[in-house]
Amino acid sequence: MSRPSLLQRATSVIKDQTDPHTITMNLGRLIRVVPRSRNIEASLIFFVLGLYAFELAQVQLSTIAKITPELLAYWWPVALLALVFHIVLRFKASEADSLMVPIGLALNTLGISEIYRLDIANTLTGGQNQFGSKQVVWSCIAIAMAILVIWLVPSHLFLRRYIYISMVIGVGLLISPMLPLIGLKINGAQLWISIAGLTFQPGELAKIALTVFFAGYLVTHRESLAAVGRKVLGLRLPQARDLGPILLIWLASLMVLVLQRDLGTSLLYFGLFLVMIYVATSRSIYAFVGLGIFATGAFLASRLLDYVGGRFDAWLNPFSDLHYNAQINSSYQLVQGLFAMAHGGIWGTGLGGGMPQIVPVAESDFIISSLGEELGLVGLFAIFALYLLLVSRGLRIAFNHTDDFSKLLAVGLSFVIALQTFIVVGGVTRVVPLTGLTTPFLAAGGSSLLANWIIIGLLLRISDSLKNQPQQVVVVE
Amino acid sequence: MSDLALFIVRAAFVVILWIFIFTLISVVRSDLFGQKLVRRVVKANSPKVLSSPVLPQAAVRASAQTELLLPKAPDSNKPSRVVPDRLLITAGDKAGYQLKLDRREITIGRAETSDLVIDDEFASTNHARLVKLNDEWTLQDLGSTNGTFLDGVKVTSPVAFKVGSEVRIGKTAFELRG
Repeated sequence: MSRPSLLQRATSVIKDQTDPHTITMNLGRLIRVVPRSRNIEASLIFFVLGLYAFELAQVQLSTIAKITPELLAYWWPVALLALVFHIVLRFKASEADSLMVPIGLALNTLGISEIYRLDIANTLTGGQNQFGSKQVVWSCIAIAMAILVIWLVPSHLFLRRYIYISMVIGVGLLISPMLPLIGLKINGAQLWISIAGLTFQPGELAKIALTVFFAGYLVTHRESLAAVGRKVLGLRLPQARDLGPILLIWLASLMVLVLQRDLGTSLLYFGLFLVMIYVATSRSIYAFVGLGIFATGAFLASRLLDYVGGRFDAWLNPFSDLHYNAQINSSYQLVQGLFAMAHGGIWGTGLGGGMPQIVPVAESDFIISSLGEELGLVGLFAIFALYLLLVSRGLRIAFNHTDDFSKLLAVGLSFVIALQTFIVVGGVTRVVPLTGLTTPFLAAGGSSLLANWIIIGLLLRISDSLKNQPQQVVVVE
Repeated sequence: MSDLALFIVRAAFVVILWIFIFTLISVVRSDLFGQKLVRRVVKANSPKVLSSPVLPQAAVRASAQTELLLPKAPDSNKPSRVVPDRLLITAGDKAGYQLKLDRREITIGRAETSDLVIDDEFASTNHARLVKLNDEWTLQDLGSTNGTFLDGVKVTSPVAFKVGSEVRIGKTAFELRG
């Protein structure tokens, strides 16, 4: 079953040919056996690490007007882990996607640089914030977890055996912030748990477990879900009994909305489910019905429950004195974020040149407005382009696979990053109500980094397994 | 540090960030449309394509030069002597897909762990397997419910599977190619 190593393949090509002319003829074949994707990845990782050093130097020059050795302390741990990741991929998943690691690393390091910049601003005014160094430590732990995923998981298909276990884990993680003793409420949203002084956002890891469950569940049940029921008013409705699971997920997401007081989290899980059911059955009615009942539920919740309604009003009228100066559900943070991005304009103030520290929790929830102020619209578009490329690579992996479980898993994992980015950026730019979700890879926070690097590890594992799959060819007879 | 120098550093950062993104896009592009190098290699390694009469004049001239240097092309009159290196699916859901024969054994069936997964109600979980012995492939039915057919004949004991024969399992059919 083992495949011949690259060296063996390369030397056998040379040994076959004794005539020097044929060796040059076969040089092309020799080049082809070297995994091109890994070489591309190596050069892109070096590019990103150079960019990271540039960012840190620019932050130091702009804020304290000199370059200190602290720069290296921020640079080398991440650089080391990135190179270890690359070497492990060469041996364990040599044909995995080449862009995932560089893109994840670029976003992660840009986040660290901005958080470091906010720490410096805080220190200059007498504060003691050390979010930047914490973020470096968490990045290393998160990348190490992704390396472990590549190292220990021989194939993503084994996840299919544990779909109901992952459902239990996912639901358990989702409800854990509501449990007494360990549950923790920050800014009105109950999304954190606190154990021995360490706070953690379990919903981040729940999204991986639930994606695995949805993928496994839909592979087995897609036939009956795709079956056509009665026709009403020109619309082909699904059979009534097949609506059971979708209603169950809807109720669960509304429970999250009511109990955890966070619209973003419930929108994330419900949206993930809708996209996966649409991809599995290719019936758009699920998407429309789902969005309809979710909008109805969210509207009712905003009318009936004070805290959800307060957030909605602060979102719709943030500039009114009433909401800006309110004690709870104040729109102060949102408005300051908008002012920050307006200050940045198109070209931005440059890293270290703005005043992003004025916005409350600028390093986590409002990292997008901090980056928008310092890098401007030009920089924000660059960040969105990175997310877009990351998600498109994930969808391409799904497209290239032939078995349904791999397809659904890759679609779910890449879509969850896309949806979360949309909800967070939409919240900061006042497109949707503000939520407590974190910006993938950028925001300060360990749980978010951990979950997103594990997603990268899983997507790399799925893309590497493509080499054992039948490949589509154009048949010329 | 002077304001001008700082301005240059800031502008340079935006430019480098976008250079990075366009580098990524060029990689995506070459993945989608293929690299020029790959196409040249395919030409150099396939004498059959080069000597076909429909090719433009330049390519034919190139083939006249390369044919002298190429190792002896496999004799196309004796298909049984060709060592197959891929399995081509000719009918069924995955028609038009091929699987590289870089393993000693290929399992076929409905199980997710099979090398060739056949999603078909006529296929069993572990339906059949192909085993390589001295560059010859042997087809073995693993006690499937609906049977495996080699050129229309039901396979009861392991049989040799050669280039030019067709195996049919349910709606799926495949053959070996050299």
